[in-house]
Amino acid sequence: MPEPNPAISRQTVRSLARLAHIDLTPAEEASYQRELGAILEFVNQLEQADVSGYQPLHQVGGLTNRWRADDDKPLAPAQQPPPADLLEPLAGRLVDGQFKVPRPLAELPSDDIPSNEADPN
Amino acid sequence: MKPTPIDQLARAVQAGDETAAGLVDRALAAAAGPEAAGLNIFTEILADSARAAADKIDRKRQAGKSLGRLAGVPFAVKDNFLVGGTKTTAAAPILDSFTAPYTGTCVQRLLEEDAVLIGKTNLDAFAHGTTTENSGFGPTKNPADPALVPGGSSGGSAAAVAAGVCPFALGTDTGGSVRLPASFCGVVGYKPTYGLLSRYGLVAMASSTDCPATLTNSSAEAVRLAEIMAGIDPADGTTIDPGRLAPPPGKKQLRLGLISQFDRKLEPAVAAALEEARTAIAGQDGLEVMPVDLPSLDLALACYYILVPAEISSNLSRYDGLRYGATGGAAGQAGAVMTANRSAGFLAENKRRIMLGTYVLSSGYYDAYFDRAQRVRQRLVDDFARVFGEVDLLLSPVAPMTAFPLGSKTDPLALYQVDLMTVPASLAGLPAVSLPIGGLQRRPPVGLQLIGPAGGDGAVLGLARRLEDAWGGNREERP
Repeated sequence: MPEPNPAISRQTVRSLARLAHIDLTPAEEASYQRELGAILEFVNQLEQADVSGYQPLHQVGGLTNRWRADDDKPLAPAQQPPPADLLEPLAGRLVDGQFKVPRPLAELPSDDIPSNEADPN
Repeated sequence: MKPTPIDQLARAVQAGDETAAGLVDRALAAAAGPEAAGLNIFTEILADSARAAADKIDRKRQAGKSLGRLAGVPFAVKDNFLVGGTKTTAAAPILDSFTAPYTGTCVQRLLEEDAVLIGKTNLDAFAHGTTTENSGFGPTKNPADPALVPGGSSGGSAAAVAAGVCPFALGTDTGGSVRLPASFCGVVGYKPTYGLLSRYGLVAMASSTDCPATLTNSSAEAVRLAEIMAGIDPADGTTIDPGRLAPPPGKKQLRLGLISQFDRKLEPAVAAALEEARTAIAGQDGLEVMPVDLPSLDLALACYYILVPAEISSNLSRYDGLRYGATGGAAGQAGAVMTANRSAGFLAENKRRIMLGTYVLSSGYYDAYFDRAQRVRQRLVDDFARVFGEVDLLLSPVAPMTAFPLGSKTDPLALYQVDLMTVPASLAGLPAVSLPIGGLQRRPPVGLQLIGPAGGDGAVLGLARRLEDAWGGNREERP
């Protein structure tokens, strides 16, 4: 069996999967560990790059954030919520114009202050 | 079959020499025919809506109304462009029954000019790939040789044009995903300056490099399509004013820089084609080729595979299956439901990139990876700016190799390496074209990459036009 790649640990792969809301089987953990390890070894070459004097570039094109006036003029069509008929394909998920989703938190004892147990971190 | 230019087709419909129904029926017959079916080009053929649209155009003409600039011209789009009322799957299980609630801007602008959409084309799922083998619909095959990959991730769109099903198709190019399949299949692939074409209605991959892009048989047709689609879009805050798309007038003398970093370790077929291109250019009045050095290009691929997975992990976090997307019937607490949907809904390469992106953005690793890669990106942009002070345009191959056999490359890192020569222009937001060397008939197809400064789309497409004319290639018979 090939050596697990030391560039990333099995535990880290498990944490990444949990953060990304992805379930991995043990076999998948092992193969992603090998693959991600190889990729990280490759991208690690940036460690040697000389970046002195360079600021991080967030986007090309030199755009800066624009603010609109704090008024109550109507929004442009693309900024408004979609009209009901455009949401027709998703209608099965809607109740009174709102998406019905599973409850986010586990059942809690009624008098307790909610803990951080549901937080994936 | 000689490919007929888009303008000629549209004029024929406007004049009544052809009907939209005739053009569309022929395209649909080709799309459903044995060759296209064998190549697995389409995720869905939209026969009913295409015929209805064609009839509407013909009735408009009969009523004496004027028709759009693309009257009756059939086209296809990669299945990561949202088209209202149709499935938009991004070739991934999580979206396999997602019906788009609206049509994105690029497609909308083409439809407004009376072009007729005949189908959605196959892609690597979520556009993550370089071969169109990572698709929930199975791989697409290369029309030039069906044992080979068409390139990716816009392999279906490139194949649709190369197989003669329709005269143009849209793809997306985030790191080379239109230029590469154009090179492998033998068609013209044009990635515009970032921001020239609106990303509204695109399934987002890496928002700072995603570009809607075109596959055509000639550069003149690419210009035509860009003229129609370009223009500030209030729905996409990164769109820019197009300026001129025609080549700058009066500039006959051009200094062309052949990128020395990409003039090595080439497959013999690519090296030979590049030599052919060099000879053809040398034979042209007013074109001068010189080697140029861009040392930061050696860092570009590593930089890309840090920044783009980071953006992917962010963009794909919306796919939780709660508002739309496959549910697989999972029940229980929201986190568990999301995890079940995502685990079943993403393919391996999607998961790989999401986890890689999560890693480079996480605390403790952010500075060493993401922040550092953003500084390398600035360095790359500066390096290009310096070089465009010395030369007008840059040349290189599109890839170190020609199309390789289906299933022959499975190592993720080896597949990333295929992008080596295309990612730099993506990171810097520059316009770039893949032009079939020697014309459409050359086998195996090899693309020449032309890169221009930001906003220099006109110059890049102008040079492409000059070389096509020299090769006489875009009006030749396909083998």
